[in-house]
Amino acid sequence: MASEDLVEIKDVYKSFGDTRALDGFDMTVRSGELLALLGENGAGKTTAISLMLGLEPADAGQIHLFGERPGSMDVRRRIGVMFQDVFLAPELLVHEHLTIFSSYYPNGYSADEILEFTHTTALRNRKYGVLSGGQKRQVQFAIALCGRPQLLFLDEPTVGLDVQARKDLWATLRQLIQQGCSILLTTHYLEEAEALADRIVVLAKGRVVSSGTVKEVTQTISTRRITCVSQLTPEEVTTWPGVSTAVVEDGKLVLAVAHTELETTVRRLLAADSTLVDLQVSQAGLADAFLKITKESRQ
Amino acid sequence: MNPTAAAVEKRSFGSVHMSNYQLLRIYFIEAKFEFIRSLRNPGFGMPFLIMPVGLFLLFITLSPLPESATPAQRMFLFTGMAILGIMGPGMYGFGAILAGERQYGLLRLKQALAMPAGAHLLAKFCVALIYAAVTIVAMIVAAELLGRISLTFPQAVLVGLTLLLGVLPFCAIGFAIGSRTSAHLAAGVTTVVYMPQLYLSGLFFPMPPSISWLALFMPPFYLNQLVLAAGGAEHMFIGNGYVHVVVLATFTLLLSWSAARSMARGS
Repeated sequence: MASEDLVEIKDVYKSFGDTRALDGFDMTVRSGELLALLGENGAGKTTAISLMLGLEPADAGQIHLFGERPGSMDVRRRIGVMFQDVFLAPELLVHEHLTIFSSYYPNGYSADEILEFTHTTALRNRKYGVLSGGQKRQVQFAIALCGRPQLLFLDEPTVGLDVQARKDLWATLRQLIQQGCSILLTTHYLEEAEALADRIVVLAKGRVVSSGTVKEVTQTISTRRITCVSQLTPEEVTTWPGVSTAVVEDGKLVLAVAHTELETTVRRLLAADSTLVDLQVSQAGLADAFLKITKESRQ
Repeated sequence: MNPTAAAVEKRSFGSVHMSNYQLLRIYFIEAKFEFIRSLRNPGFGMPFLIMPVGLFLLFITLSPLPESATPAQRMFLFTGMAILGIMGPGMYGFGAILAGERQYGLLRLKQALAMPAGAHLLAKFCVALIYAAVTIVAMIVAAELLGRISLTFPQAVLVGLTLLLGVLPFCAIGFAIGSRTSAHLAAGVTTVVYMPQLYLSGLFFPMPPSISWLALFMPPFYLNQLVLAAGGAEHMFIGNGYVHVVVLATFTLLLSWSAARSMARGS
C-alpha cells in the first residue's frame, strides 16, 4: 500500500439478497485530499461507506484504512463520521453531546474548542431537541470533528443548511484539508463537489464509472455546454444528435452537447428559433459530466 | 484568529493509544449523561423515581395493617411495590429508548466512531441501577418509619441487595425489546410485557389456582420469593432459593445474549 493512501479498496463485492450493491469496487483516498464520491440514489455510495467504516462485511475484495481492517479501534480513533441523519438525545445540551463524543478519543477537542472551530458556539447551551434541522446538521458535523480525525467521512453534510452555514462548513473543510485531514464526501450538490473536491469518483451500479480531478472528469466526456434564451423546449432538442442532456435553468435552455456535434447543434438552434438570444458556449461543468456519465452507465 | 481557534490549528494528529483512565472516563461520561438525560425526560425521570414510593405510601394510608399482622403480611405489599418500582427503569430505559437509538442511527454512529463496545448499554444499566437503588432505599426507609415492616439492619441490606440485583432480568427484557422492535412499537410492547407480569406473578394478590402455574414463567415471581425470604417472611421456593437465582440468571443471560445477537445482525 502506498504510504499516502489512507483508504485502499480493491475489487470489493457486496450483495443484499439478489441486489448487488457493489460490483468490483475500487477506490483510494489519499492523504490530505478531499475526495467526492458521487452517484445517483442506489449507486452504492452508502454501502461503500458502511464497508469502509466496518459496519458491514464485504462479500469479497479487500478494504484497508491506515493499512488496517475497517472497524478496528485504532482505525475508529482516527476517523470522524457524519451520517445523513442521526437521532441524538433531545434532552441533552449541545456541549454535553460534544463532551460525550470527544471522550472517545485520546486527543479529542474540548466541546468549546470544537464549537468555536465549527462556528457553532451560539448553540452551546441549547437542547438538541429544540434545534432546527440545519442546526442539528451543524452539531452532527461538530461531532464528526470531535476526535481530531485524520480521515473524515461526510455523507450529504450540507443538506438543510442555510447559505451562511454552508459557507462556514465549506470554510472549515478547507481549513481541515490545510491541516492535513483527508475527507471523503458524498453529496448531491455537484457545485459543492466542484468547489471542494481534489478528486471525483463517480459510482454507478456499484462500479466506478469515472474518476479523476474535476477537470479530468469533465474533459473525458468531450462535452460542451450551450446556454441560450430560446422558445425551444428541452423535449424538442434532447432528441437531436449529439445532445446528451437538455434542461431549463433560470429561464435559459441549457444543453450538454458532444464536442463533435457542437457546430451542427448551434446552427440548428439558430435555424429552429429566430428569436434565440444570449447564446453562450462553454466547457461542460461537473453537473453535465455527471449526468452524461450516469446516463451512459444506465444504458 | 482568536486563541481557541489558534490552539485548534496548532494541534497535530497524535497517538491513538488511550490510558485506562481515559477508557474508564468514557464509561463514566456515558453513564453520567444517560442519567442526566433520563432525569430531563418528563416521561421517565420523576415518574420512575416518585411513582413507586408514592403508590406505596398511598396504599399504606388506604389499607393500614392490624397489629397482629404476620411478617409475611407486612412484607407482601412492600415487596410487590418495590419490584414494580425496579421493573420500570430497567424495561423502559432499555426498551423504548434503545429502540429509538437503534432505529434512528445513534448506535450505528457510535459503532462507527470510537465508543468502546458496550459503553452505551452499560450506561443504561447503571441508570437502571441508580433508579432502583433510590427506589429501594426510599421504600425501605418509608416502610420502616411508618411501621409497615420491621427488618433488622442485616435483613434490610439483604433485601436491598436482592432487589438491586433483581433489576438485571428486567434490563434483559428491555434489552430484548429494544433490540428487536421499532421505535414506534417499543413503548407499547414494553407495556404489554410489563403489565401481565405484575398480575400473573402474584405480586399484589394471590393468583386463582387455575392460572397460578403461569407465575412459573414470570421473573417477578422468582424475585418476589427471594426478597420475601431475605426479609424473613413466609415465601414459596420452587426447590430452594438457589433454583430461583439460577432461573433468574439463566433468563437474564439467555435474553441478553439473544438481544446482543439481534443487535449485531441489525448493525
